[in-house]
Amino acid sequence: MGVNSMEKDNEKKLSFLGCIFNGIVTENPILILMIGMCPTLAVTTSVSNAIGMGLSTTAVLVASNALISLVRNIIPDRVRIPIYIVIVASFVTLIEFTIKAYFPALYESLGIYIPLIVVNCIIFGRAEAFAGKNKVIHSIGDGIGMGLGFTLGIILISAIRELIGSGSIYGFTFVPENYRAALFVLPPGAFLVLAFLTAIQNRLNLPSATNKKDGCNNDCLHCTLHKQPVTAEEEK
Amino acid sequence: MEYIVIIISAALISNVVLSRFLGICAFVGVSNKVETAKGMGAAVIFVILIATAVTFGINNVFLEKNGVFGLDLTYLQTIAFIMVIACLVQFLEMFLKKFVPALYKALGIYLPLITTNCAVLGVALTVAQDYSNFVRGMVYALGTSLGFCISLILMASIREKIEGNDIPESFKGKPIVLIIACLMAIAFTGFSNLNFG
Amino acid sequence: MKILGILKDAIMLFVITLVLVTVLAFTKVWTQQAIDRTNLEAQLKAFNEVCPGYYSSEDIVSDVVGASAGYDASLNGDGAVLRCKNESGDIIGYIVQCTSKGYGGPLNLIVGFDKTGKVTGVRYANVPSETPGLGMKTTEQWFLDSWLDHSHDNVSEVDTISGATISSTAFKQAMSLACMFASRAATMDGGK
Repeated sequence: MGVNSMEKDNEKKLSFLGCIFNGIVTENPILILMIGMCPTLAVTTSVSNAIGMGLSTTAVLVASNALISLVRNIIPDRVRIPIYIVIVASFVTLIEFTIKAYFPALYESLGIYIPLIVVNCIIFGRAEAFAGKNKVIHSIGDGIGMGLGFTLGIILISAIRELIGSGSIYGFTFVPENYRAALFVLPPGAFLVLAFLTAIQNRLNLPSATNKKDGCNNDCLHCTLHKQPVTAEEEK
Repeated sequence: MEYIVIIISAALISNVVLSRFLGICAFVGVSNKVETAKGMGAAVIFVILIATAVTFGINNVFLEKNGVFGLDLTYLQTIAFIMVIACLVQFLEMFLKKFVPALYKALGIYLPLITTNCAVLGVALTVAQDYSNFVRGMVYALGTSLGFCISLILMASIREKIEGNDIPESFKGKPIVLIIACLMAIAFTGFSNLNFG
Repeated sequence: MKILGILKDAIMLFVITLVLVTVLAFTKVWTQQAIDRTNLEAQLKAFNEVCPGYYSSEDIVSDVVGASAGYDASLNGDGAVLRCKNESGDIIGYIVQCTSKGYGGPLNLIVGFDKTGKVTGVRYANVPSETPGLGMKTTEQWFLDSWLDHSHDNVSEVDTISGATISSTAFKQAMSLACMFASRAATMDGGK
């Protein structure tokens, strides 16, 4: 508990740029916190998909962080979770329209994973852990940082998968056909790449959710709607 | 026969966890013990079936163009479905606590964790978009949730078996879970060559 | 007091939802035009690539799909046939839009035919969600070109891609269906 409150204090003292840096490096959602795994694994078959997904998620994260932070003092505490859900879902739908209208190819390739940004742990996690408690400018910084951290993380994974699996990066071919391992662009490859990335992190003793009990305590379910049953209890 | 094909295809060929990557969080987080995995699996089947039935109804009555409002409101699917699922899980928890305490005891602690399980929203959206027939949609939902249950229990059983094994230091914890998931996914791709003629 | 509190919460939640949904509705109306335009442009571009000519909604061959139902039940899929005309209104070919189930979802094809039912061009109606490096090979130009000049009689001779069996078999099914529709349409028009 003591550690927790100390962390909260640190977060509050971060400047705008500090918030961005924190999201990209110190608390990178993919590599350090290890949250938002579903899109991490599903859309990383090619770098272009990863960039599309990453930037869409960043846009939703920045917008929802900003709005949640803006209304944090006027919304009643007991209904804050449903309000977060409505806000996030609205922004996701807005992004969906935008992609459908102006990037039809991206819309086709991301498919159902666009509406599923709603249940990306990163967004609810940041709403609950940061935007609901901090000033608008810092929340925007946190959104940009976390979003870019997420984007860079999935670009890294997708670059590895695309290079080994289809011999190219962002569509530019590097590896001749006979030296490719198609397994890496198939579902098993996603698990394999992430397994080795986390193993390397463990080996180098880098901070990550696997060797240190921080972030979401190894289970992203707990940094999102976990608090909902607690508020339900309070109503009694 | 058609229903069997839908179930096999949803549960094994395009397994919700291993080939569509929905519900990974629960798959990695709640697969320590077979007992817990069973509880979680049952809770997910329960919630997916009820959530799909309710969202299918809401979609056809309110959101579709020939619904009561006469407007094409399908763009509100995401926002409506996630709210419905969140509310549903809460109601379900209260209802079970009050009227079926035995079931609540078995599923209770997993229920609140299911709201953010993307498999639930994923199935609800897929059924609303691709299935116009209620029975077929429900069969698909059943197949998908069975697939989730199967892979979760398999994963938990394997993890229990390897508990005392000599795993390289760097691979302890999450990496070895992901390696197992990878091997399971390879095994499951074998199902894709099933041919129903 | 307690009820008042709950009421206040409920009103707050309702107001916020209402505001957001209103914003969404306006954005929907605003982007809908762009979405429609993007879709239409993409469709016309694909039509012109597979069978250059003039098309109108009156030229949809409505009875061919129904007439072919049950014709070959092993081809599961759906389709629509459009006549392609030259400036003076003579039929120069047909465009078939058809669907088949691939590995990652539906494959939507736009296939052009000349008036004897030979393939003049194949395009995807949208980017399919197949596996990059495997099923996505069915989107490559050499594969699309390998279907040219085939018709209902010899479409089964075209090779599928080894390693991408599901996607290319689905593609072949869609092509067989399209060829069948085109040959039926050609027979019907020829008989008039």
